[in-house]
Amino acid sequence: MKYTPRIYAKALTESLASVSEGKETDIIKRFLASVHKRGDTRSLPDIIDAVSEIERRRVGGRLVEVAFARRHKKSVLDVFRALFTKHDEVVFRTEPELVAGVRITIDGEREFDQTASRRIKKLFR
Amino acid sequence: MQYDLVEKLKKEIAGFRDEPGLESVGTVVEAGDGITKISGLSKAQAQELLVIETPDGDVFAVAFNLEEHFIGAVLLGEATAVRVGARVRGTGAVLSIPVGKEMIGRAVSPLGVAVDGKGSLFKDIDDAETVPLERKAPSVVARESVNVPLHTGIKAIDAMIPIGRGQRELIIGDRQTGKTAIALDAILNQKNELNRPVCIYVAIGQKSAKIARIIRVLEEADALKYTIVVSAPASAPAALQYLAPFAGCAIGEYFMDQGKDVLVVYDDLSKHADSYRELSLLLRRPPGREAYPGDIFFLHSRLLERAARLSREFGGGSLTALPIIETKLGDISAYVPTNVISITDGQIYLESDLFTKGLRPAVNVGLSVSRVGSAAQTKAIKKVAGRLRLELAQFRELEAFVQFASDLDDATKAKIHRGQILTEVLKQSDLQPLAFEREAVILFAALGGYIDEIPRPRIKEFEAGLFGYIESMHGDVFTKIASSRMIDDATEAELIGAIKSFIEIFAQ
Repeated sequence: MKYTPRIYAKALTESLASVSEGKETDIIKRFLASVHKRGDTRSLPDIIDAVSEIERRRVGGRLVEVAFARRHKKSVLDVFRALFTKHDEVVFRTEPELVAGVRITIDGEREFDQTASRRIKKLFR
Repeated sequence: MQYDLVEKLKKEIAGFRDEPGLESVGTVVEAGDGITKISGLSKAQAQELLVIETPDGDVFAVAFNLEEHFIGAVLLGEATAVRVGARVRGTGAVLSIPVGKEMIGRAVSPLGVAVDGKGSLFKDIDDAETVPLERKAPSVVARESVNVPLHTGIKAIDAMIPIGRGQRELIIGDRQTGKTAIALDAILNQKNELNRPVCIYVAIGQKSAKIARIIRVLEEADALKYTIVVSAPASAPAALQYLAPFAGCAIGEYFMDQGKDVLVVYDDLSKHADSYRELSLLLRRPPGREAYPGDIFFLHSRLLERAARLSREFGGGSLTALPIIETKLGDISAYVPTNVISITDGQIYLESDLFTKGLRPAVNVGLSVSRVGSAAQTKAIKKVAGRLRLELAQFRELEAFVQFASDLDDATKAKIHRGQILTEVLKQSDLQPLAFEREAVILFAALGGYIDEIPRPRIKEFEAGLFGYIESMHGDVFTKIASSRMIDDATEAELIGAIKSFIEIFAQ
């Protein structure tokens, strides 16, 4: 039976939570060997994403994706980063097709879209 | 001209309001074979219409599988445009289509878009009423028993398997046995009905050429003016084929709710079941018997339960359903046929053997039944055709002895002869439905034994002649039967006289 990335991630996080300090590296090495043995190495990026998600949820954080139409200075990005808590993972993207403005997506589910591309689309809908 | 456009654009921009707010979104994580897997949108509801943003424009999808982390959705548009990573928005609305009387006489897709090349259906789409494709069937309180006939114009059916308005009568048989022809005749025959129902022909997985031919036939017979064709041909995605009968039913309900009678033909539900099986397997739903998903019965029962005759308090409209099922080698015990047989109020069973013998419509009277239609049968037909089924059954039993005719007693010979005459009378070409008063007259003549002496090869000629004679010499007979819907003693006497005098003329 093939395990999904979420099952791998759950197994890893539960193992890490129950292990004594200093043994984490051994657990991770054995986990990676197990993933390799099952031929699921290709799923590792998804497993890492799932582990991050579980960890974020455990501490009450959110994945925040902030997309701009063009690159901004660090000071601008810091202003946005300051809007969220330290547990939130804030990712910045540059998507020229947005034309102008900003789009903020929280946990891939809720979106605050104030981009020109959306407004244009809405205007012509 | 350009100035006008700029002015219009300025006006639109001035009136444009965009309130900032949080929206529910998701992302496509898998796409292919007309389905897609979406992450996010955890608040989406079953059957919710989703919008996938692609570089080529928005593509619509319907949420089917609501799982813990993903949504399995069925694409309603160009599947090749959908890429992994595309943004998906929920609309908060279940799949609906615009409906209105403008649809009558048109061919539409299951999404309510005109496909007949005659332009858009509605002058202003905002004027059209929008109805959901899936709706709860009318409750027990809202229903009334079936008591108004729906004449098909086919003698064998109107006499022995009568259909009432609000009934669900299955047409079942192998390929090339005349299933669509019966449904088409039923639609054509509504042309001269006083209270003419709106007819809806739903083509599911049919060849486009066949659909085009049906539209042409309806047009030539002047029947398209009260008919709507919902077209999901074989080339349409499985999702559209799955939605087509629900769209047809939703359109029908719109007219039923206005107190009108509606006749909906689902041609055919076997292909509908196949398209649903395809979608279910692609969405990795567990396969059951014949690889159909577990809810295949519910799929058809919830569709056919929407056929009803509403009580006066609810408008008094009706929706009659004529689902069609194609069997393989006459096997009516297969999964989908047995399901639909058990859901409907009777079935018209067509047989290949009868068809090849030249008996058309190839109705097997023994296996065909109408469970509620007899209450709705017109008195005139009921009076004359009461003995028809019995006489035919007796004839079928004795039919094997036909080759020993010389050794049989006179009573048996007479029964066989009567059976042969009746069989000949019941033969009817397709696209030639008869008004019920004409059906009553010819059946009266046949069952009364008046035409026993007519040679069998000349029965059709006699029938046509008799109708012409009565129309020209006793025109009020047809009018009286049509208006009173019965044959009273005076009409009967006049009819007998007319038949006898025509037989004398015909014999010369």
